[in-house]
Amino acid sequence: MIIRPLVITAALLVVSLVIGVVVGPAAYSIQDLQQALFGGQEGPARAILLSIRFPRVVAAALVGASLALSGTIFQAVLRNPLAEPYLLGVQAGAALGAATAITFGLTTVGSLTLPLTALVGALVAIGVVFRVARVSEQLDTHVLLLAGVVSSSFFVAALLLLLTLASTDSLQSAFFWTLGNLGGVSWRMILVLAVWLIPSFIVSVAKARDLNALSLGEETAASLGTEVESVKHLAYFLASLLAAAAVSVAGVIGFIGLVVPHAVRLLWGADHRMLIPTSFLGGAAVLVLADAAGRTVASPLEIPVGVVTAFVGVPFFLALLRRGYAR
Amino acid sequence: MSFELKDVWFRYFGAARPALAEVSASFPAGKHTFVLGPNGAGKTTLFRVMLGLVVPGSGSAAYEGRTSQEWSRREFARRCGVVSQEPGNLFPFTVREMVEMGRNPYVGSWRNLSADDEAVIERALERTDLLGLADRTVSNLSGGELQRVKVARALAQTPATLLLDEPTAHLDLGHEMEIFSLLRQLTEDEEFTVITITHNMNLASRFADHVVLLDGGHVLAAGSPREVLEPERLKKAFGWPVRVEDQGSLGLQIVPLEP
Repeated sequence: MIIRPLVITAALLVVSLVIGVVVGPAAYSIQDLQQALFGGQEGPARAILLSIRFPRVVAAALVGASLALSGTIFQAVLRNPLAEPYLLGVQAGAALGAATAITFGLTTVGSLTLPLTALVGALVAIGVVFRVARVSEQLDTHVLLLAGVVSSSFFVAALLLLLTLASTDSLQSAFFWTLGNLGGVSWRMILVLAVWLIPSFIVSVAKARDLNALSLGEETAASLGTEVESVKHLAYFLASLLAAAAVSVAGVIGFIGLVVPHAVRLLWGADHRMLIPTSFLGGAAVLVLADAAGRTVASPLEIPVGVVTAFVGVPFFLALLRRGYAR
Repeated sequence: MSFELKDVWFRYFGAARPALAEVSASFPAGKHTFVLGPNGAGKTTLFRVMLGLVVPGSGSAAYEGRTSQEWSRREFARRCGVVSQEPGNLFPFTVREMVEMGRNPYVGSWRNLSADDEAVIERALERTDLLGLADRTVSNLSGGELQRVKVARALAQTPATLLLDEPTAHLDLGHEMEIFSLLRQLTEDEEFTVITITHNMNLASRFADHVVLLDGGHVLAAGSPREVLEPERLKKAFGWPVRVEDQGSLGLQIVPLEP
Protein backbone atom coordinates (compact mmCIF):
# COMPACT_ATOMS: atom_id res chain seq x y z
CA MET A 1 0.00 0.00 0.00
CA ILE A 2 1.41 3.36 -0.99
CA ILE A 3 -1.11 5.89 0.29
CA ARG A 4 -0.93 5.30 4.05
CA PRO A 5 2.85 5.73 4.49
CA LEU A 6 2.70 8.82 2.29
CA VAL A 7 -0.09 10.41 4.29
CA ILE A 8 1.65 9.64 7.57
CA THR A 9 5.02 11.08 6.53
CA ALA A 10 3.41 14.10 4.86
CA ALA A 11 1.53 14.83 8.09
CA LEU A 12 4.77 14.38 10.03
CA LEU A 13 6.48 16.86 7.74
CA VAL A 14 3.75 19.50 8.18
CA VAL A 15 3.86 19.12 11.97
CA SER A 16 7.64 19.27 12.02
CA LEU A 17 7.69 22.39 9.83
CA VAL A 18 5.38 24.16 12.27
CA ILE A 19 7.44 23.00 15.26
CA GLY A 20 10.65 24.02 13.48
CA VAL A 21 9.41 27.56 12.96
CA VAL A 22 7.93 28.19 16.41
CA VAL A 23 10.60 26.69 18.68
CA GLY A 24 14.02 28.15 19.29
CA PRO A 25 15.81 30.53 21.68
CA ALA A 26 12.74 32.76 21.48
CA ALA A 27 9.68 30.54 21.54
CA TYR A 28 6.51 31.53 19.75
CA SER A 29 3.01 30.11 19.71
CA ILE A 30 1.04 28.87 16.74
CA GLN A 31 -0.98 32.11 16.98
CA ASP A 32 2.20 34.15 16.57
CA LEU A 33 2.95 32.14 13.45
CA GLN A 34 -0.56 32.73 12.10
CA GLN A 35 -0.18 36.43 12.84
CA ALA A 36 3.16 36.55 11.09
CA LEU A 37 1.90 34.65 8.06
CA PHE A 38 -1.51 36.20 7.58
CA GLY A 39 -1.66 39.18 9.97
CA GLY A 40 0.44 41.45 7.83
CA GLN A 41 1.82 43.65 10.66
CA GLU A 42 5.54 44.21 10.88
CA GLY A 43 7.22 43.30 14.15
CA PRO A 44 10.10 41.40 15.69
CA ALA A 45 8.08 38.18 15.75
CA ARG A 46 7.36 38.42 12.06
CA ALA A 47 11.00 39.23 11.32
CA ILE A 48 12.35 36.30 13.28
CA LEU A 49 9.76 33.80 12.09
CA LEU A 50 9.75 34.70 8.42
CA SER A 51 13.30 35.92 7.78
CA ILE A 52 15.34 33.70 10.09
CA ARG A 53 13.39 30.63 11.11
CA PHE A 54 11.45 30.05 7.93
CA PRO A 55 14.40 29.83 5.51
CA ARG A 56 16.29 27.68 7.99
CA VAL A 57 13.41 25.24 8.32
CA VAL A 58 12.90 25.08 4.56
CA ALA A 59 16.64 24.47 4.11
CA ALA A 60 16.52 21.66 6.67
CA ALA A 61 13.58 20.07 4.85
CA LEU A 62 15.31 20.23 1.45
CA VAL A 63 18.65 18.96 2.77
CA GLY A 64 16.95 16.14 4.70
CA ALA A 65 14.91 15.14 1.66
CA SER A 66 18.03 15.21 -0.56
CA LEU A 67 20.01 13.01 1.81
CA ALA A 68 17.21 10.48 2.30
CA LEU A 69 16.55 10.28 -1.44
CA SER A 70 20.26 9.88 -2.14
CA GLY A 71 20.59 7.11 0.45
CA THR A 72 17.55 5.28 -0.90
CA ILE A 73 18.94 5.27 -4.42
CA PHE A 74 22.45 4.21 -3.34
CA GLN A 75 21.12 1.33 -1.25
CA ALA A 76 19.11 0.00 -4.18
CA VAL A 77 21.79 0.34 -6.84
CA LEU A 78 24.69 -0.89 -4.71
CA ARG A 79 22.43 -3.57 -3.17
CA ASN A 80 23.99 -2.66 0.12
CA PRO A 81 21.80 -1.81 3.10
CA LEU A 82 24.75 0.06 4.64
CA ALA A 83 25.14 2.40 1.70
CA GLU A 84 24.62 6.07 2.51
CA PRO A 85 25.08 9.31 0.59
CA TYR A 86 28.63 9.91 1.81
CA LEU A 87 29.97 6.41 1.26
CA LEU A 88 31.45 7.12 -2.14
CA GLY A 89 33.64 10.04 -1.19
CA VAL A 90 31.27 12.98 -1.71
CA GLN A 91 31.56 14.08 1.90
CA ALA A 92 35.36 13.83 2.05
CA GLY A 93 35.73 15.68 -1.26
CA ALA A 94 33.37 18.44 -0.11
CA ALA A 95 35.11 18.72 3.28
CA LEU A 96 38.47 19.05 1.55
CA GLY A 97 37.04 21.74 -0.73
CA ALA A 98 35.51 23.65 2.16
CA ALA A 99 38.64 23.36 4.31
CA THR A 100 40.77 24.63 1.43
CA ALA A 101 38.55 27.70 1.14
CA ILE A 102 38.66 28.24 4.91
CA THR A 103 42.43 27.84 5.38
CA PHE A 104 43.32 30.03 2.45
CA GLY A 105 40.90 32.71 3.58
CA LEU A 106 38.75 32.50 0.46
CA THR A 107 35.54 32.67 2.50
CA THR A 108 35.85 36.46 2.74
CA VAL A 109 35.38 36.73 -1.03
CA GLY A 110 31.63 36.15 -0.91
CA SER A 111 28.92 34.26 0.91
CA LEU A 112 28.71 31.61 -1.82
CA THR A 113 32.44 30.77 -1.80
CA LEU A 114 32.21 28.09 0.85
CA PRO A 115 29.32 26.14 -0.70
CA LEU A 116 30.90 26.48 -4.13
CA THR A 117 34.32 25.19 -3.09
CA ALA A 118 32.66 22.36 -1.20
CA LEU A 119 30.65 21.55 -4.32
CA VAL A 120 33.82 21.55 -6.44
CA GLY A 121 35.46 19.14 -3.97
CA ALA A 122 32.42 16.86 -4.08
CA LEU A 123 32.30 16.93 -7.87
CA VAL A 124 35.98 16.01 -8.09
CA ALA A 125 35.32 13.02 -5.82
CA ILE A 126 32.28 11.96 -7.89
CA GLY A 127 34.32 12.23 -11.10
CA VAL A 128 37.32 10.28 -9.81
CA VAL A 129 35.20 7.44 -8.43
CA PHE A 130 33.11 7.27 -11.60
CA ARG A 131 36.21 7.20 -13.81
CA VAL A 132 37.73 4.32 -11.83
CA ALA A 133 34.54 2.24 -11.66
CA ARG A 134 33.58 2.56 -15.31
CA VAL A 135 35.15 -0.17 -17.40
CA SER A 136 34.12 -0.68 -21.03
CA GLU A 137 30.94 1.40 -20.62
CA GLN A 138 29.83 -0.58 -17.58
CA LEU A 139 29.68 0.63 -14.03
CA ASP A 140 30.87 -2.08 -11.65
CA THR A 141 29.13 -1.53 -8.33
CA HIS A 142 31.77 -3.45 -6.34
CA VAL A 143 34.52 -1.28 -7.80
CA LEU A 144 32.34 1.76 -7.22
CA LEU A 145 32.12 0.92 -3.52
CA LEU A 146 35.83 0.21 -3.13
CA ALA A 147 36.91 3.20 -5.21
CA GLY A 148 34.57 5.40 -3.17
CA VAL A 149 35.85 4.21 0.17
CA VAL A 150 39.49 4.42 -0.89
CA SER A 151 39.22 7.89 -2.44
CA SER A 152 37.40 8.97 0.72
CA SER A 153 40.45 7.99 2.76
CA PHE A 154 42.68 9.92 0.37
CA PHE A 155 40.59 13.09 0.63
CA VAL A 156 40.46 12.75 4.39
CA ALA A 157 44.24 12.41 4.52
CA ALA A 158 44.61 15.54 2.39
CA LEU A 159 42.11 17.29 4.66
CA LEU A 160 44.05 16.33 7.79
CA LEU A 161 47.31 17.50 6.22
CA LEU A 162 45.71 20.81 5.36
CA LEU A 163 44.29 21.24 8.86
CA THR A 164 47.65 20.40 10.44
CA LEU A 165 49.10 23.39 8.67
CA ALA A 166 46.11 25.64 9.29
CA SER A 167 45.71 28.36 11.94
CA THR A 168 43.61 27.69 15.04
CA ASP A 169 40.77 29.87 13.74
CA SER A 170 40.62 28.08 10.42
CA LEU A 171 40.82 24.76 12.20
CA GLN A 172 37.79 25.64 14.29
CA SER A 173 35.75 26.90 11.33
CA ALA A 174 36.60 23.80 9.30
CA PHE A 175 35.72 21.60 12.26
CA PHE A 176 32.33 23.25 12.68
CA TRP A 177 31.67 23.02 8.97
CA THR A 178 32.10 19.25 9.13
CA LEU A 179 29.51 19.07 11.93
CA GLY A 180 26.82 20.46 9.70
CA ASN A 181 25.01 23.75 10.04
CA LEU A 182 21.75 24.95 8.56
CA GLY A 183 22.04 28.47 9.98
CA GLY A 184 23.80 30.15 7.11
CA VAL A 185 21.60 28.97 4.26
CA SER A 186 20.30 31.84 2.16
CA TRP A 187 17.15 31.92 0.04
CA ARG A 188 19.33 31.86 -3.04
CA MET A 189 20.94 28.57 -1.97
CA ILE A 190 17.52 27.19 -1.08
CA LEU A 191 16.29 28.01 -4.55
CA VAL A 192 19.29 26.30 -6.16
CA LEU A 193 18.78 23.23 -3.99
CA ALA A 194 15.06 23.07 -4.77
CA VAL A 195 15.61 23.48 -8.50
CA TRP A 196 17.93 20.46 -8.39
CA LEU A 197 16.00 18.37 -5.87
CA ILE A 198 12.50 18.49 -7.37
CA PRO A 199 13.41 17.16 -10.85
CA SER A 200 15.68 14.54 -9.25
CA PHE A 201 12.75 13.40 -7.15
CA ILE A 202 10.44 13.15 -10.15
CA VAL A 203 13.00 11.18 -12.17
CA SER A 204 13.59 8.82 -9.22
CA VAL A 205 9.88 8.13 -8.86
CA ALA A 206 9.67 7.49 -12.61
CA LYS A 207 12.49 4.95 -12.24
CA ALA A 208 10.99 3.31 -9.13
CA ARG A 209 10.15 0.03 -10.90
CA ASP A 210 13.66 -0.15 -12.34
CA LEU A 211 15.12 0.47 -8.89
CA ASN A 212 12.93 -2.32 -7.50
CA ALA A 213 14.36 -4.67 -10.12
CA LEU A 214 17.95 -3.46 -9.65
CA SER A 215 17.74 -3.99 -5.91
CA LEU A 216 17.25 -7.72 -6.63
CA GLY A 217 20.38 -8.01 -8.77
CA GLU A 218 21.62 -6.80 -12.13
CA GLU A 219 20.96 -10.02 -14.05
CA THR A 220 17.46 -10.15 -12.63
CA ALA A 221 16.86 -6.50 -13.48
CA ALA A 222 18.02 -7.02 -17.06
CA SER A 223 15.73 -10.02 -17.43
CA LEU A 224 12.81 -7.89 -16.19
CA GLY A 225 13.36 -5.35 -18.96
CA THR A 226 15.53 -2.77 -17.18
CA GLU A 227 18.28 -1.12 -19.21
CA VAL A 228 20.70 -1.82 -16.38
CA GLU A 229 23.70 0.29 -17.35
CA SER A 230 21.77 3.42 -18.19
CA VAL A 231 19.71 3.22 -14.99
CA LYS A 232 22.87 2.62 -12.92
CA HIS A 233 24.64 5.60 -14.49
CA LEU A 234 21.62 7.81 -13.98
CA ALA A 235 21.21 6.64 -10.39
CA TYR A 236 24.87 7.15 -9.53
CA PHE A 237 24.84 10.75 -10.75
CA LEU A 238 21.43 11.55 -9.27
CA ALA A 239 22.34 10.23 -5.83
CA SER A 240 25.88 11.63 -5.80
CA LEU A 241 24.85 15.07 -6.95
CA LEU A 242 22.01 15.18 -4.40
CA ALA A 243 24.53 14.37 -1.68
CA ALA A 244 26.96 16.93 -3.10
CA ALA A 245 24.31 19.66 -3.13
CA ALA A 246 23.22 18.85 0.43
CA VAL A 247 26.74 18.72 1.81
CA SER A 248 27.76 21.94 0.05
CA VAL A 249 24.85 23.85 1.50
CA ALA A 250 24.75 22.43 5.02
CA GLY A 251 28.02 20.64 5.74
CA VAL A 252 28.18 17.03 6.81
CA ILE A 253 24.94 15.73 8.30
CA GLY A 254 25.09 12.00 8.82
CA PHE A 255 22.58 9.22 9.44
CA ILE A 256 19.58 10.74 7.63
CA GLY A 257 20.55 9.04 4.39
CA LEU A 258 21.13 5.71 6.11
CA VAL A 259 18.45 5.64 8.78
CA VAL A 260 15.41 7.14 7.05
CA PRO A 261 15.16 4.69 4.13
CA HIS A 262 15.81 1.81 6.51
CA ALA A 263 13.14 2.94 8.91
CA VAL A 264 10.66 3.24 6.06
CA ARG A 265 11.57 -0.25 4.80
CA LEU A 266 11.18 -1.79 8.22
CA LEU A 267 7.82 -0.11 8.69
CA TRP A 268 6.29 -0.40 5.23
CA GLY A 269 8.44 -2.58 2.98
CA ALA A 270 10.82 -2.21 0.06
CA ASP A 271 8.68 -1.11 -2.92
CA HIS A 272 10.44 1.98 -4.30
CA ARG A 273 7.19 3.47 -5.54
CA MET A 274 6.36 3.89 -1.85
CA LEU A 275 9.91 4.04 -0.50
CA ILE A 276 11.12 7.00 -2.57
CA PRO A 277 8.36 9.51 -1.78
CA THR A 278 8.05 8.31 1.81
CA SER A 279 11.79 8.58 2.48
CA PHE A 280 11.80 11.96 0.77
CA LEU A 281 9.09 13.33 3.08
CA GLY A 282 10.43 11.46 6.10
CA GLY A 283 13.98 12.72 5.56
CA ALA A 284 12.70 16.27 5.34
CA ALA A 285 10.66 15.92 8.53
CA VAL A 286 13.43 14.25 10.51
CA LEU A 287 16.06 16.86 9.69
CA VAL A 288 13.66 19.74 10.48
CA LEU A 289 12.98 18.16 13.88
CA ALA A 290 16.67 17.43 14.52
CA ASP A 291 17.58 21.01 13.71
CA ALA A 292 14.81 22.33 15.96
CA ALA A 293 16.08 20.10 18.76
CA GLY A 294 19.66 21.29 18.23
CA ARG A 295 18.54 24.88 18.54
CA THR A 296 16.48 24.44 21.70
CA VAL A 297 17.85 21.64 23.87
CA ALA A 298 20.90 23.51 25.16
CA SER A 299 19.75 27.04 24.26
CA PRO A 300 21.38 29.54 23.92
CA LEU A 301 24.09 27.12 22.89
CA GLU A 302 23.40 25.41 19.59
CA ILE A 303 24.18 21.70 19.27
CA PRO A 304 25.41 20.86 15.74
CA VAL A 305 22.61 19.20 13.82
CA GLY A 306 24.91 16.33 12.74
CA VAL A 307 25.37 15.45 16.41
CA VAL A 308 21.62 15.48 17.00
CA THR A 309 20.87 13.23 14.01
CA ALA A 310 23.44 10.71 15.27
CA PHE A 311 22.29 10.88 18.90
CA VAL A 312 18.63 10.42 18.08
CA GLY A 313 19.02 8.43 14.87
CA VAL A 314 21.23 5.66 16.14
CA PRO A 315 19.17 4.47 19.16
CA PHE A 316 15.98 4.79 17.14
CA PHE A 317 17.50 2.77 14.36
CA LEU A 318 18.80 0.08 16.71
CA ALA A 319 15.34 -0.24 18.26
CA LEU A 320 13.78 -0.57 14.80
CA LEU A 321 16.34 -3.19 13.82
CA ARG A 322 15.52 -5.28 16.86
CA ARG A 323 11.83 -4.97 16.14
CA GLY A 324 12.40 -5.82 12.48
CA TYR A 325 14.40 -8.94 13.18
CA ALA A 326 12.12 -10.07 15.97
CA ARG A 327 9.28 -10.36 13.47
CA MET B 1 13.60 -22.34 -33.01
CA SER B 2 13.71 -20.20 -29.94
CA PHE B 3 17.44 -19.68 -29.45
CA GLU B 4 19.95 -20.37 -32.19
CA LEU B 5 23.70 -20.10 -31.54
CA LYS B 6 26.13 -20.12 -34.46
CA ASP B 7 29.86 -20.52 -33.91
CA VAL B 8 29.89 -18.42 -30.73
CA TRP B 9 33.27 -17.49 -29.25
CA PHE B 10 33.63 -15.65 -26.01
CA ARG B 11 36.70 -14.81 -23.98
CA TYR B 12 36.62 -12.96 -20.65
CA PHE B 13 38.87 -9.92 -20.42
CA GLY B 14 42.41 -11.08 -19.59
CA ALA B 15 41.55 -14.80 -19.66
CA ALA B 16 44.04 -17.14 -21.31
CA ARG B 17 41.53 -19.44 -22.96
CA PRO B 18 38.05 -18.70 -24.28
CA ALA B 19 35.09 -19.54 -22.03
CA LEU B 20 33.12 -20.52 -25.13
CA ALA B 21 34.65 -21.78 -28.36
CA GLU B 22 32.85 -22.69 -31.58
CA VAL B 23 29.57 -23.13 -29.77
CA SER B 24 26.71 -23.87 -32.11
CA ALA B 25 23.42 -25.07 -30.67
CA SER B 26 19.72 -24.95 -31.41
CA PHE B 27 16.97 -24.85 -28.83
CA PRO B 28 13.77 -26.25 -30.34
CA ALA B 29 10.56 -24.36 -29.59
CA GLY B 30 8.02 -26.09 -27.36
CA LYS B 31 10.62 -28.46 -25.89
CA HIS B 32 12.58 -28.67 -22.67
CA THR B 33 16.28 -28.36 -23.50
CA PHE B 34 19.01 -28.93 -20.94
CA VAL B 35 22.43 -27.36 -21.15
CA LEU B 36 24.45 -29.90 -19.21
CA GLY B 37 28.07 -29.75 -18.18
CA PRO B 38 30.54 -29.87 -15.29
CA ASN B 39 31.64 -26.83 -13.28
CA GLY B 40 33.55 -24.41 -15.47
CA ALA B 41 32.19 -25.86 -18.71
CA GLY B 42 30.92 -22.44 -19.79
CA LYS B 43 27.24 -22.97 -18.92
CA THR B 44 26.74 -19.68 -17.13
CA THR B 45 28.68 -17.81 -19.80
CA LEU B 46 26.39 -19.38 -22.38
CA PHE B 47 23.40 -18.26 -20.33
CA ARG B 48 24.80 -14.71 -20.24
CA VAL B 49 25.38 -14.73 -23.98
CA MET B 50 21.85 -15.96 -24.65
CA LEU B 51 20.39 -13.21 -22.47
CA GLY B 52 22.50 -10.56 -24.16
CA LEU B 53 24.27 -9.73 -20.90
CA VAL B 54 27.58 -10.20 -22.71
CA VAL B 55 28.22 -9.93 -26.44
CA PRO B 56 30.07 -12.83 -28.10
CA GLY B 57 33.51 -12.01 -29.52
CA SER B 58 32.47 -13.66 -32.77
CA GLY B 59 29.57 -15.73 -34.00
CA SER B 60 25.93 -14.96 -33.34
CA ALA B 61 23.34 -15.71 -30.70
CA ALA B 62 19.81 -15.08 -31.85
CA TYR B 63 16.42 -15.42 -30.22
CA GLU B 64 13.49 -15.79 -32.61
CA GLY B 65 15.80 -14.70 -35.40
CA ARG B 66 17.04 -11.50 -33.75
CA THR B 67 20.37 -11.01 -31.94
CA SER B 68 20.45 -9.49 -28.47
CA GLN B 69 21.46 -6.09 -29.88
CA GLU B 70 18.34 -6.13 -32.05
CA TRP B 71 16.03 -6.74 -29.08
CA SER B 72 15.24 -3.98 -26.63
CA ARG B 73 15.49 -5.20 -23.03
CA ARG B 74 11.80 -4.56 -22.53
CA GLU B 75 10.66 -6.41 -25.63
CA PHE B 76 12.97 -9.32 -24.85
CA ALA B 77 11.60 -9.50 -21.29
CA ARG B 78 8.09 -9.96 -22.71
CA ARG B 79 9.20 -13.02 -24.70
CA CYS B 80 11.71 -14.63 -22.38
CA GLY B 81 11.41 -15.11 -18.62
CA VAL B 82 14.50 -15.84 -16.56
CA VAL B 83 15.24 -17.57 -13.28
CA SER B 84 18.82 -16.62 -12.46
CA GLN B 85 20.98 -17.68 -9.53
CA GLU B 86 20.78 -14.25 -7.90
CA PRO B 87 18.92 -14.71 -4.61
CA GLY B 88 17.24 -11.29 -4.70
CA ASN B 89 15.97 -11.46 -1.13
CA LEU B 90 18.13 -8.71 0.41
CA PHE B 91 15.31 -6.19 0.73
CA PRO B 92 11.94 -6.92 2.36
CA PHE B 93 9.66 -7.18 -0.66
CA THR B 94 6.53 -9.25 -0.24
CA VAL B 95 6.02 -12.32 -2.43
CA ARG B 96 3.27 -10.50 -4.33
CA GLU B 97 5.51 -7.47 -4.97
CA MET B 98 8.23 -9.78 -6.30
CA VAL B 99 5.83 -11.47 -8.69
CA GLU B 100 4.37 -8.09 -9.71
CA MET B 101 7.81 -7.17 -11.00
CA GLY B 102 7.22 -9.74 -13.73
CA ARG B 103 4.88 -7.14 -15.23
CA ASN B 104 7.63 -4.48 -15.34
CA PRO B 105 8.16 -4.94 -19.10
CA TYR B 106 4.49 -4.16 -19.70
CA VAL B 107 3.65 -1.21 -17.45
CA GLY B 108 4.74 2.42 -17.84
CA SER B 109 6.49 4.41 -15.11
CA TRP B 110 3.40 6.34 -14.07
CA ARG B 111 0.82 3.58 -14.52
CA ASN B 112 -0.63 1.16 -12.05
CA LEU B 113 -1.16 -2.50 -12.87
CA SER B 114 -4.30 -3.14 -14.93
CA ALA B 115 -6.92 -5.75 -14.05
CA ASP B 116 -5.35 -7.99 -16.70
CA ASP B 117 -1.93 -7.62 -15.06
CA GLU B 118 -3.47 -8.52 -11.71
CA ALA B 119 -5.08 -11.62 -13.22
CA VAL B 120 -1.74 -12.75 -14.66
CA ILE B 121 -0.08 -12.28 -11.27
CA GLU B 122 -2.84 -14.19 -9.51
CA ARG B 123 -2.49 -17.06 -11.96
CA ALA B 124 1.30 -17.16 -11.56
CA LEU B 125 0.95 -17.27 -7.78
CA GLU B 126 -1.62 -20.02 -8.06
CA ARG B 127 0.44 -22.19 -10.42
CA THR B 128 3.46 -22.03 -8.11
CA ASP B 129 1.30 -22.68 -5.06
CA LEU B 130 2.17 -19.33 -3.50
CA LEU B 131 -1.29 -17.83 -2.91
CA GLY B 132 -1.03 -18.60 0.79
CA LEU B 133 2.37 -16.88 1.02
CA ALA B 134 1.54 -13.81 -1.09
CA ASP B 135 1.88 -11.33 1.78
CA ARG B 136 4.96 -12.89 3.34
CA THR B 137 8.29 -11.07 3.14
CA VAL B 138 10.78 -12.78 0.83
CA SER B 139 13.58 -12.47 3.39
CA ASN B 140 11.64 -14.95 5.55
CA LEU B 141 11.12 -17.65 2.93
CA SER B 142 12.83 -21.03 2.70
CA GLY B 143 15.07 -21.79 -0.27
CA GLY B 144 12.34 -23.79 -1.99
CA GLU B 145 9.74 -21.07 -1.51
CA LEU B 146 12.09 -18.37 -2.80
CA GLN B 147 12.83 -20.43 -5.90
CA ARG B 148 9.08 -20.79 -6.54
CA VAL B 149 8.73 -17.02 -6.23
CA LYS B 150 11.36 -16.57 -8.93
CA VAL B 151 9.55 -19.04 -11.20
CA ALA B 152 6.26 -17.24 -10.52
CA ARG B 153 7.85 -13.91 -11.41
CA ALA B 154 9.14 -15.35 -14.69
CA LEU B 155 5.67 -16.75 -15.44
CA ALA B 156 4.15 -13.33 -14.74
CA GLN B 157 6.20 -12.03 -17.66
CA THR B 158 3.86 -14.22 -19.83
CA PRO B 159 6.86 -15.30 -21.89
CA ALA B 160 7.12 -17.86 -24.68
CA THR B 161 10.43 -19.12 -23.30
CA LEU B 162 11.69 -19.76 -19.78
CA LEU B 163 15.42 -19.83 -19.12
CA LEU B 164 16.54 -21.25 -15.77
CA ASP B 165 20.08 -21.33 -14.37
CA GLU B 166 20.45 -24.16 -11.81
CA PRO B 167 16.87 -23.62 -10.62
CA THR B 168 16.95 -26.39 -8.02
CA ALA B 169 20.62 -26.40 -6.97
CA HIS B 170 19.77 -25.87 -3.31
CA LEU B 171 16.47 -27.69 -3.16
CA ASP B 172 15.61 -31.05 -1.68
CA LEU B 173 14.15 -33.84 -3.80
CA GLY B 174 10.48 -33.01 -3.25
CA HIS B 175 10.84 -29.31 -4.05
CA GLU B 176 13.02 -30.14 -7.03
CA MET B 177 10.42 -32.49 -8.47
CA GLU B 178 7.62 -29.96 -7.87
CA ILE B 179 9.44 -27.36 -9.95
CA PHE B 180 10.34 -29.77 -12.74
CA SER B 181 6.85 -31.23 -12.97
CA LEU B 182 5.53 -27.67 -13.35
CA LEU B 183 8.09 -27.09 -16.12
CA ARG B 184 7.00 -30.32 -17.80
CA GLN B 185 3.36 -29.17 -17.73
CA LEU B 186 4.40 -25.88 -19.32
CA THR B 187 6.10 -27.56 -22.27
CA GLU B 188 3.60 -30.36 -22.73
CA ASP B 189 0.33 -28.49 -22.23
CA GLU B 190 1.11 -24.88 -23.09
CA GLU B 191 3.83 -25.01 -25.73
CA PHE B 192 6.34 -23.17 -23.57
CA THR B 193 9.98 -23.48 -24.56
CA VAL B 194 12.04 -24.24 -21.46
CA ILE B 195 15.82 -24.13 -21.19
CA THR B 196 17.48 -25.37 -18.02
CA ILE B 197 21.16 -25.01 -17.24
CA THR B 198 22.50 -27.56 -14.79
CA HIS B 199 25.33 -29.90 -13.89
CA ASN B 200 22.81 -32.48 -12.68
CA MET B 201 22.87 -35.40 -15.18
CA ASN B 202 19.92 -37.19 -13.62
CA LEU B 203 17.66 -34.18 -13.98
CA ALA B 204 18.64 -33.93 -17.62
CA SER B 205 18.10 -37.63 -18.26
CA ARG B 206 14.70 -37.48 -16.59
CA PHE B 207 13.19 -34.26 -17.91
CA ALA B 208 15.04 -33.28 -21.09
CA ASP B 209 13.60 -33.49 -24.59
CA HIS B 210 16.92 -32.27 -25.89
CA VAL B 211 20.39 -32.10 -24.27
CA VAL B 212 23.35 -29.90 -25.13
CA LEU B 213 26.43 -31.30 -23.38
CA LEU B 214 29.08 -28.66 -22.75
CA ASP B 215 32.67 -29.23 -21.67
CA GLY B 216 35.61 -26.82 -21.60
CA GLY B 217 33.66 -24.24 -23.59
CA HIS B 218 32.89 -26.71 -26.42
CA VAL B 219 29.71 -28.54 -27.33
CA LEU B 220 30.62 -32.17 -26.77
CA ALA B 221 27.32 -33.55 -28.07
CA ALA B 222 23.71 -32.53 -28.65
CA GLY B 223 20.56 -34.56 -29.15
CA SER B 224 18.02 -36.60 -27.20
CA PRO B 225 19.06 -37.79 -23.70
CA ARG B 226 19.51 -41.34 -25.01
CA GLU B 227 21.82 -40.11 -27.75
CA VAL B 228 23.90 -37.79 -25.60
CA LEU B 229 24.17 -39.47 -22.21
CA GLU B 230 26.71 -42.19 -22.92
CA PRO B 231 29.03 -43.45 -20.18
CA GLU B 232 32.28 -42.71 -22.03
CA ARG B 233 31.22 -39.19 -22.95
CA LEU B 234 30.01 -38.43 -19.43
CA LYS B 235 33.24 -39.76 -17.96
CA LYS B 236 35.19 -37.45 -20.26
CA ALA B 237 33.08 -34.40 -19.38
CA PHE B 238 32.63 -34.94 -15.65
CA GLY B 239 35.91 -36.70 -14.91
CA TRP B 240 34.29 -39.66 -13.18
CA PRO B 241 33.30 -43.14 -14.41
CA VAL B 242 29.53 -43.68 -14.54
CA ARG B 243 27.05 -46.38 -15.50
CA VAL B 244 23.87 -45.46 -17.37
CA GLU B 245 20.86 -47.54 -16.35
CA ASP B 246 17.59 -47.62 -18.25
CA GLN B 247 14.65 -47.08 -15.89
CA GLY B 248 11.99 -47.47 -18.60
CA SER B 249 9.36 -44.74 -18.42
CA LEU B 250 11.38 -42.93 -15.75
CA GLY B 251 14.18 -42.36 -18.23
CA LEU B 252 17.86 -43.03 -17.77
CA GLN B 253 19.61 -43.05 -14.44
CA ILE B 254 23.25 -42.15 -14.20
CA VAL B 255 25.07 -43.89 -11.37
CA PRO B 256 28.61 -42.89 -10.43
CA LEU B 257 30.95 -45.93 -10.20
CA GLU B 258 33.61 -46.12 -7.50
CA PRO B 259 34.65 -45.56 -4.80
